Amino acid sequence: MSPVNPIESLPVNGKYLNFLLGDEHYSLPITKVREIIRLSPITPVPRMPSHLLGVINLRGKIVPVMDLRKRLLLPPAQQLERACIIVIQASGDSAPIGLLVDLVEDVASISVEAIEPPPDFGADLDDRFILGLAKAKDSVITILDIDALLAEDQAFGVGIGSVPISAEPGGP
Amino acid sequence: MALLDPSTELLLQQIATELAFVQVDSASVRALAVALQALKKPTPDQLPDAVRSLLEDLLSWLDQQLCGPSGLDDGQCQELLERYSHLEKALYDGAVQAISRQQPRADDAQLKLPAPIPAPNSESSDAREEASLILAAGDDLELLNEFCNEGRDLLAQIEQSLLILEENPEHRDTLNQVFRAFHTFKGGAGFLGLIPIKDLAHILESLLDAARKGELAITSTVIELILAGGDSLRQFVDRIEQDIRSDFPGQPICVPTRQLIWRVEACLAGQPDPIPQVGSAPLSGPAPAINSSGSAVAQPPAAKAPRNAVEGLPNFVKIDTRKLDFLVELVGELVIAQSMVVEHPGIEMLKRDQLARPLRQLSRITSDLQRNAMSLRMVPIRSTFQKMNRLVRDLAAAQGKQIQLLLTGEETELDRNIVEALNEPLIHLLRNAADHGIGNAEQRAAMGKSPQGTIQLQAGYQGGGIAISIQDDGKGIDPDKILKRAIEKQLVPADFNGTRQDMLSLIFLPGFSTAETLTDISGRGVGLDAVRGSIARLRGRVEIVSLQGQGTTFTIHLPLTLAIIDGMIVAVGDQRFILPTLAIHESFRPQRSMLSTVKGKGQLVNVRGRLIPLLQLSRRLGLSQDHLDPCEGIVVVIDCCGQLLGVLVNGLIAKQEVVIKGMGAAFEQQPFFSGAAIMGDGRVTLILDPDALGRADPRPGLAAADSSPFTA
Repeated sequence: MSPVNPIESLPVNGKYLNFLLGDEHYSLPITKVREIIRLSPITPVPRMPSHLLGVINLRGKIVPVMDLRKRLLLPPAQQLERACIIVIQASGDSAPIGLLVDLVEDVASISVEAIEPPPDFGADLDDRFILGLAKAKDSVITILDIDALLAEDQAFGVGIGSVPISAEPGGP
Repeated sequence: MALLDPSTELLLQQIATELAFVQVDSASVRALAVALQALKKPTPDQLPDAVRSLLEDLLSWLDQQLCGPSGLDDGQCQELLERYSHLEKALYDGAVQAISRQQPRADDAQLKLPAPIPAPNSESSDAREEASLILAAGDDLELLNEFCNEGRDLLAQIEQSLLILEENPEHRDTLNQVFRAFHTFKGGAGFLGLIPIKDLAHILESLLDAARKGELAITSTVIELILAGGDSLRQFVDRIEQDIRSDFPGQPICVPTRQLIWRVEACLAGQPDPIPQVGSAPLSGPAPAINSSGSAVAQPPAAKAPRNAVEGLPNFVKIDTRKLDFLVELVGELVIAQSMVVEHPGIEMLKRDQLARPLRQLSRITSDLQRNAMSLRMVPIRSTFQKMNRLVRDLAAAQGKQIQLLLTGEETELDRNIVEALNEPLIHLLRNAADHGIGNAEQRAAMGKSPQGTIQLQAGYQGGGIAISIQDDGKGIDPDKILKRAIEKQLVPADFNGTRQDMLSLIFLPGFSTAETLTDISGRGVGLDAVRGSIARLRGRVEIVSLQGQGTTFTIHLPLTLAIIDGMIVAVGDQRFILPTLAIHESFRPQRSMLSTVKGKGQLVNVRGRLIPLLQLSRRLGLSQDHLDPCEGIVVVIDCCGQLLGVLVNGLIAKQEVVIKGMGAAFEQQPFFSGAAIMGDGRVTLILDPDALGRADPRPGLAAADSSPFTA
């Protein structure tokens, strides 16, 4: 199989959900998003990689929540007042998972021409989960490859070795 | 099969029964006429013309027959049977055509000539080739599937009845029941054009018919033949089912039946069995069959009642289990939502008399609804138990032992998922009991026991769950040998200190049993860890009690349902977890004098003379690195892989029934929890898996200090 440019798999003039992690702008295709909910009490699951915060009760269903900052190895958030959980469903009947983000901005159309492949950051930056970069008015939006991100989590059996494991008690 | 409406089906069965007695009893002739009339009455406009005219003919013919007090004579009987077979055939043909046209009321049904039914005593049997069956692409898969489902039920029923007949060959009702079952089976197969199946079912039916007429005594050979026939039929059903589900249907299905048909024919002709079974020793096994076989015809009907009451069964509706599960899940959510409303602080403040009453009503209805929804998934354990009858019979036969299986509490109901999952462990335990627990007649005699061994399979409600026990009266197990073995295998330290009961329980440890134990130390323990594992997956546990020389009892404790558990909510650090109550033996706040340490690390608690390893739950879960002083916490003694383990928690909060939910894909591989539950306040609480707590840590280095308590 020849590697397919991931950008080509994106919809032309697709809609994207933009959100903030710190002052960085991120985005993911709206087709993956099931709903956005306010931060609700998360029950931590002990002895799990620290980016897996725990589980929440979503109208009677139990949904795992991942801290996207920790997953992308960003520093922890200073304030969580406007934090949201984006519930995504990667493909048709896969189980939903929640992503904790600092702030949900808006839904915007991004044409496929406006998206560029990520430049080579060299060893400085882990670009495995970046589908591409899109230029907005005054900022750059990073489009996340959410499938790759989740697939890696599954493949490593909840992240043994790939991400630091929380040693301290509790969640956020 | 399901072609005819149930009332007609019932009438046909009744007619078949009466037909068998028209030669001996004039009452049967009258009953036959009444049944035939009834066939005409309730569905006048549904009967195709062809059937109608045949029916009228038969009735008027029957009217003219003179019959003495002992029924019809040979010639009359012959004609009656022939006329009736035409009628029956026309009836089925009419139904087929009605279905194929999707117009049940069509009245221009054509009459097909009845296919010649091979005579039971056909001489050409030797030359008959092994017939194979090919399902044509045009065959109606729905109908075939229906045939398979119903056939399976019939075969199970036949097997049960035969086991009763074996004990009590005179039991007329049971005999008739077996006959009718084969008859129905034959009808279905004939209608679908499954000729080899029809032929086999037909010859077996003839055999039973002969027995009904008193021409043939039900000997163990007859039972053997019919059981073998049932097995062949089941093979057919299995293969058909495979074929219709496979991607390439239409493969020839060939199940050897020729030899069997030949043997049955020989038996019908009164000749000795041409191919005596090599393993006929079994026939000396279940003693009652032998006792009565010689003088079977002369004996008066035994007074013993049949074990399975066929009458009075309620009606059933078949439902897709997914719909059922979805309903149960929704009701679970309703219960949670209801408690969220009732316990909401806003409502609490408002609580006045007007509000209190409707709220109570809401709670009551919700819990009624929940109980009812749960009961939808409950089935009696009967079918699983009855399968064991055959198993024990075959095992005893194969080993030349005499074993009787006593069943009690078959009506006990539990979750259908549990019932299905119980099959394997029960087979395992019964096999163990029959293979190793119960010796042969000589061994038993040497111990002063009756030659016939007894296994008791018992089910009953106990506490909030059910208990199933398998008790044999064999030689029992020597705990010292178990301990010796476990030390040899390095499963426990050489200085293992426990009661004889603890020593026995080592039998459940993973790695205890190997192939060589088959012939070693009474052979027990073959895969008992597998049994324990499958019971644990059902959130239950197994216990063993054995008295040397008196026998062994395995007791399986199970929850009533998989959807709800009775949980103990415990506080660990600032978090809460749920421990399944079934796994909890006791809990207490320890005294300083009860505690001791091993090698400076492993803590032990002394409970009435038993030393139980102590687990710091909060360290184990990585919640804290600090040791909790046991005297400030509570020790919950749980059953963990068959061993006792003291789990140290900060406190007990409440005992509560909770609905179990999965934790989502991201947490599938987490080691400690079997699921999660949503509590009344809407928060999620995790359910601890008791077995996982004692298991060696999957990620060493995190809690090296507190690895498995058993390898300390």
